[in-house]
Amino acid sequence: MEELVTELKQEIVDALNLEDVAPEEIDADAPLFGTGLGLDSIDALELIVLIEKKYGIKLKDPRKSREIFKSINVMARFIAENRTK
Amino acid sequence: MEPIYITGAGVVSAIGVGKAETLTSLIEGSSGIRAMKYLQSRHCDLPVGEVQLSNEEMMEMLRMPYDPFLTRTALIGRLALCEALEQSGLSGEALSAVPFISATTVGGMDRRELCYAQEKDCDCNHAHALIATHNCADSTKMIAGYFGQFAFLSTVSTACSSATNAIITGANMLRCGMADTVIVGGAESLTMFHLNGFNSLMILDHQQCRPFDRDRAGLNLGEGAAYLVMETEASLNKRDATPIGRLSGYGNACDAFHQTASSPEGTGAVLAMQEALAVAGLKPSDIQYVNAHGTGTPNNDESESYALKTVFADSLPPVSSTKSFTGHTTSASGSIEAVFCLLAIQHQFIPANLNWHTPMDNGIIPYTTASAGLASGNPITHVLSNAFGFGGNDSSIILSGN
Amino acid sequence: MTQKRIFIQAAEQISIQQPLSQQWMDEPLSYDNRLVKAVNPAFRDYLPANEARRMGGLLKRALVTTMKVLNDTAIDHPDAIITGTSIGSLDCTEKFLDAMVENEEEMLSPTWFMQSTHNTVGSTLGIYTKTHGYNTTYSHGAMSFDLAVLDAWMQMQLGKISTALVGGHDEMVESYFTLLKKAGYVGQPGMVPCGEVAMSMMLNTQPTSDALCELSEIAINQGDKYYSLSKTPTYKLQTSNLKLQISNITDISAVMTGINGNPANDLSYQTLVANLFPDRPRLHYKHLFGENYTSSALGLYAAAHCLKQNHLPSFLYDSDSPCLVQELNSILLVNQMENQQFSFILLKKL
Repeated sequence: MEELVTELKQEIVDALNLEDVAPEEIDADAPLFGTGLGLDSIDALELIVLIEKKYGIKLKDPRKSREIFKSINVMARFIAENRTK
Repeated sequence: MEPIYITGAGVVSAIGVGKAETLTSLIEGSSGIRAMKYLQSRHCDLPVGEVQLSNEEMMEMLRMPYDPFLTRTALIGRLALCEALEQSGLSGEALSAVPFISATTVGGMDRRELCYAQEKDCDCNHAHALIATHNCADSTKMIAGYFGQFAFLSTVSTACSSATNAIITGANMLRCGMADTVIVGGAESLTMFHLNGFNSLMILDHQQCRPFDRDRAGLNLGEGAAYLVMETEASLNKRDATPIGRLSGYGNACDAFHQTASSPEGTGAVLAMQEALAVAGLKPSDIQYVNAHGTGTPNNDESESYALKTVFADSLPPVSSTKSFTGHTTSASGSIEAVFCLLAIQHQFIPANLNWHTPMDNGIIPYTTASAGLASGNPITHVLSNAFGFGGNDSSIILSGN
Repeated sequence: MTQKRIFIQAAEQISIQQPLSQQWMDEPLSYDNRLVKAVNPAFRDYLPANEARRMGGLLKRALVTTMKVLNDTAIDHPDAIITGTSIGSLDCTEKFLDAMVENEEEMLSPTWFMQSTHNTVGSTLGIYTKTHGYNTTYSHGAMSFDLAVLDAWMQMQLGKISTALVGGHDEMVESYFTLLKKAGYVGQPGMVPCGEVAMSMMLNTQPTSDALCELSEIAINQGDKYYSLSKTPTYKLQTSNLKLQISNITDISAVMTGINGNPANDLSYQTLVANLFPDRPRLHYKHLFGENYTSSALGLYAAAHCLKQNHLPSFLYDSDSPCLVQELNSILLVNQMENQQFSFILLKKL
């Protein structure tokens, strides 16, 4: 799981072009949206693309994304349970 | 504002080619949103509002030889412009004094995307054609060129409010004395590009769209074109032309909130509607019908409901979204829906908002069956039409009877 | 309607010359006929990384030139934002197309699509500056910027607005440049470079003494048979309903055109200028700023600054120019599109 969390941090920084953010500095329990990293609805859509491309998980309902992408740890758990790649 | 008369209108969409077919569909409540037939996309399960003609069929109707580089946008545009010009009686040499302002965003992308994979290996002639078809300007030229030489050409591109903004630019030209007649509107065909684009934003409904319904899940894309011939009173009198309505007000404002979402309070929408009313010298209670932008997305319908309530307060007239008939025709929607408003005034009916069942929280309650006239018995004289584009390019126009 | 006077309060550019400055007047960068990408400023100095992360080069350049103009003029919220762009965020359009083809219409980035619509520039400027006024975008090839200026002009004449942020913005990518080159529009021997354009300016009906110049006249028309010159002491350029009135031909100190080394393009300008303004000094700008759809924005920017500084660098003169400028009072900008559509913008010194 730790490996996945580390990998996810890098993937998110790359996918969302968070140039000024060092992956290792992201708190894996901090909220991704609103506060914390301060991501928005477009970022949520990009993360949906990311989890399909990288982990083979197709999310059909964008409204579920806020729960799944609550924090890196929550996201990692969801991916570990549902990945097909 | 000095009167701006409309002397010609042409429309093509999923509910008909021309005003007569369109009127029948609107009055009967027959939606044109169907299974995908012409666009070759992998997402063929998405309901769309396609013009029910192939490119070849449109070329036949226009009596032109088959041309593989002619874009679907241009073909649909030509059909609509044909009808508008015919009604107005303008043709040939007379067009040389008339500016043509068209709207599109995808232009000829329908051609380019088919060839895109082979672009790197294409030859010189093919390169010419690809550049030509992609460009918005070339889309306008392809539509206009069929009819003759206009005073000049212009293309507006503000996503879903493009055609409304073309109408506004045309109106300003008339008021400035830069021309006494203008032709304005927009054309847009379905393309894989924007179908996939909207799909990536996850705002497409896999069922028929349900504007202002609590359970709405997004929009259906559509295609079409519509053009209006607008002229000053002096020109109308000189030509002894017959007006079919007037453009009495217009407004354009920027929501300045987000690239793909409207502000919760619908700030841009409120400002656009208020400006249109001010230009027309009308009060909100003078409007008998609002043709909403009403795409069926959770965000738009919530934001637009708030904006409508802000502007109209206790005097909200009947509201409906005709995107439940045609789908969202994006850059052409402003002029297509303007023609629907003109038909509503001419034939004294309110188009229905189809597929509505359950009220939204804090939403407006739309008119759900096409009603012949208002319950009050008052005539339908002034109609407001909204068009809100990505990025918050919000525009409203008011159409009125003669 | 009495004509209102309109002024260019400020104008800034990012192009293939040094950005956000008039350094090109003294130390122009010179290029051959290839694709040259814009010389970008350090965007970090202007835009927080978090806000700029989604923006491609086109948007960043549009924003930074806008921010500089707003700063120059102390006008935070212009009454209107009017943009001309022919191909918009071409980079994002092509990335989206590439992905669409490669991934067979799956797993596509919404950011690329969002940026690909042509009005993204204008709406981004509205969002960033929190400006709720009139906002529209013209996308009509080489006339995109000129049509944007015309719109601002009309609304100022109607008294609807007093200030307008007007811009011309276009970028270029290798694959599209290759297509244009194959079709002979750019990249041929003897031609100017193919460049990138970002130019923002503030128009104002109530200028301060810092204003660059007056935007005295604008006319856009189609087809050469629609203008004619009557050779009387009062010359009129008449185009059906669109009139450009010049009270005396000597009112034009110089004519600036978009010649670019492409024979077909240049012939169009040369014919027009020889017919209408045979004795006027001739200037050009695309050898400095490159060819792109909205390059006319950079021509206008250059002319405005020359008038402000009362200085015409010698390298602006066209080799065909019959004479030099004696007294710089005005510059007439001529732009043409495929020998079909022409725009004329007259700038006057304050």
